[in-house]
Amino acid sequence: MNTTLFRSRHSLLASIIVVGLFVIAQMGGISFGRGPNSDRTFILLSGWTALVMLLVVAAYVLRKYAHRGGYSPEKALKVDHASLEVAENALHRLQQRINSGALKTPALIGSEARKILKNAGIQRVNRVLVEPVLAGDDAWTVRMVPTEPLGRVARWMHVHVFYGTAFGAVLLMHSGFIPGSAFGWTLAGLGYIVFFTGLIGIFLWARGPRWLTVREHDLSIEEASALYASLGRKRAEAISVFSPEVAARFNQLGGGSGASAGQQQVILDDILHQLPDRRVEIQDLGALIIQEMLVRQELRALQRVRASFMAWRIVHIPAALLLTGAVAVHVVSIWKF
Amino acid sequence: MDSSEAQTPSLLELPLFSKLTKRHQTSLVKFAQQRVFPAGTDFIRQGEYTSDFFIVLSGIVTAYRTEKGGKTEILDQFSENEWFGELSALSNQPAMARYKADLPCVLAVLDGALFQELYSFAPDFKKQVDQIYRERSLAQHLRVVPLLKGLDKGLLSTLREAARFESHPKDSVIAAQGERASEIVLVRSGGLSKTRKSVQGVEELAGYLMANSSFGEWALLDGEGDWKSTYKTLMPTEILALPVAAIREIFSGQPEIIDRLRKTARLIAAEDQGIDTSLYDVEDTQSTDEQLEIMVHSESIKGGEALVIDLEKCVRCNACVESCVAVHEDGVPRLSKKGKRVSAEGNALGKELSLTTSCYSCETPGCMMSCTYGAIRRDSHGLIRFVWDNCVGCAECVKGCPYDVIRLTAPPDPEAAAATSWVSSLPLIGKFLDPLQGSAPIPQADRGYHREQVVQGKAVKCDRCEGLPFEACVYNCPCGAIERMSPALIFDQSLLEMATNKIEEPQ
Repeated sequence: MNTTLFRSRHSLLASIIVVGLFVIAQMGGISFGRGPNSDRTFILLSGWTALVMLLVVAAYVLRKYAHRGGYSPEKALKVDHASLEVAENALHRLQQRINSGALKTPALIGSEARKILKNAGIQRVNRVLVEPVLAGDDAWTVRMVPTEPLGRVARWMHVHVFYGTAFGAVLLMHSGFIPGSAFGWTLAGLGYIVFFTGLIGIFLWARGPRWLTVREHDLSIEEASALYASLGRKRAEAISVFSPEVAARFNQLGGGSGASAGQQQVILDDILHQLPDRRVEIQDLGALIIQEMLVRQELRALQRVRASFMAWRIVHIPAALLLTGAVAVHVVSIWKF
Repeated sequence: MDSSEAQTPSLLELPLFSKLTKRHQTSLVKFAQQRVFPAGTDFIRQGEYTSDFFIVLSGIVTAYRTEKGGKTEILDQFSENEWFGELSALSNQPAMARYKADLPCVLAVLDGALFQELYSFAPDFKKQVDQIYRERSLAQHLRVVPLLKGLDKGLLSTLREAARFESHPKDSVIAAQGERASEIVLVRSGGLSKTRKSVQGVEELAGYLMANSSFGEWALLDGEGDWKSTYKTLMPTEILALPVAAIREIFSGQPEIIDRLRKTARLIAAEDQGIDTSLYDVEDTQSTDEQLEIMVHSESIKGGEALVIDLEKCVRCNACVESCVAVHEDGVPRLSKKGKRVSAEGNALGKELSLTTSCYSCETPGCMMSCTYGAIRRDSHGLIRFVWDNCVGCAECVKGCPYDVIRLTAPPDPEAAAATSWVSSLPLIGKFLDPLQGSAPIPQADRGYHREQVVQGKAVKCDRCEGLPFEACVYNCPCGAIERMSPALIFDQSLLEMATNKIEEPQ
């Protein structure tokens, strides 16, 4: 189980926000949503808080897909390799100075190394790491590592998970248990769909990889996929030497045809009967097709396991997009009217 | 640095090349490069993996070696018409020293492939190189042999003349089990497999010996001088044979040295049978059979760090591969998730892991060895890097890589090059949004190792997103499942267990 999904300082901050709003409501005797004891200020406060949380949660999605599409703003920081090499050479000389005992403390080494990076103009791309050669050793080694200016997407995932969860609670405080209008029901409904599918998603993403790994005892999903594609190419190549009619019969043997083992044997016998002089070739091809079918079955089984922990997104993502649109309409309408 | 293919006519007039055939002269003129280094340039760093052979055409080059304790000494100095780099060119081993241009220098550079061609087929060139190697580096190289480790430089020098150089093609049997062993063998380059026949007569793999390993020390022990295993080359291999008779003769007047050598040989023989593991120091354990076995069979690495996926965390969303594609203009991914699985019991971290199919920077890089154009080098951290200028897209490295991590990019398409991305045609914001922006050629690096250019029709592999402030696959994994990790972290425990199981009680 991937427990790192649940370990983040954002959990603390998200909890403080939720508990803070709850305490405010309790101390002021304020009921959630619109009701006899509702408070306009609290509704606005919880509404703006929910909106900010939604934006923070959406930032993860934007960030992730921007990166996958090659639109990361950090790409603008790219430096040329000539500058990197200048820094590498200078760091190498620095390492030799360290080895000769001229520089002894990590602070001094770090300071010298940072100067090198700055002079080479790569300080925004790489930072220095000063480490002991062996744990507890007083011999030091210096190297460059990427700065990762906006933090890894895995950290943004924590933001998504914890503020997304907090969003559900804040939404409840904002809308109350019974929203007052059809649009209110739509907003709240979408919000809770996103919230609950998200909760399911967190659980499944924490547990699901284990299910797949256990199922992958013979073949990993990546290997099965590559093997299936490779066998398909080999089959197509082998079939291409036969006439179109025979090729069509062979295709009836394939994994996608749904033919049972008995039906396959009948088809194979039929082809053998038609072309008795190519017996060995046909049997080899038959074996290849059956192998392809078995790999396909395995691949499908693995894909089903993967789908079991990925399918929640089919609901979560469209609902989240609709919610974002509905929230935009809600905010604009409140703002204007 | 300036790098050009222009040749000074004097190169062919050097004694080193005076007896080359017409064909080799043509190769030399065509492929040798001339490089100019300003005074003060460190053009080879200690520990850097290089296969280049250098001839000083003008200027002075000094080799500085920094010892483990931090002490730096001048190892050698080279002036006009002198050469260096034969050890690395022969063995793909890390440079033993830092080479610095003391004065402005003009150097002729023969890449590994050209050097190997001349060394293999031009006997006079080989003779001269071997002579210099014998005089200059052999004594140092002999120190690698555990048997000779304790001997001082003077004694090692006396052994130089007895050494015999041999080149063997792939699959040659260097020594057969049961035959009389009469020499100690040092592997200069390449690699060997060591197999033993079991009592049932079945040939069993007992280990591997890579460059700088040695065997045959027990030949010094009376009555135990048969080969205990069969040694067969895994690839073209250069060896150095030291006849035991010559060793005995050289030290005939010094019985205490013979005694000492025998004592050490006995320890090594015991080591070979799995009795003692304390003989090799930390550096040598890199080459022990256990490490190599893991390296070969578990696809571990020596240089750099492995790209490891924690299968307990990976949701198979493919973000790593997609991010990799997104940061490389050619659209070719540098990693595949299809890699070796390591069970939770089989590694020190106790997690189900997958070693992705991404460059392992192998101890014996098959890609570098199969590249005949000098387009692949190792840097001082052991990382394999491409020299794009030299790459012709022949795909030999693709075949040479045992882990299928090298891919070829599509050849340049003039029509596609002329077309502009629709994103860039957007008014005002187009040029900021276009992901292809920034791919324009940038001036080359000072040593020409990392010339920046759009790579088309050439071999590519993981470059760790050099120049960017992140490593795309690691940076964009939503679950934090993929990490760079030292193989020592992953396999130490397994190695320990293997070693423990292998050690038997002395009889």
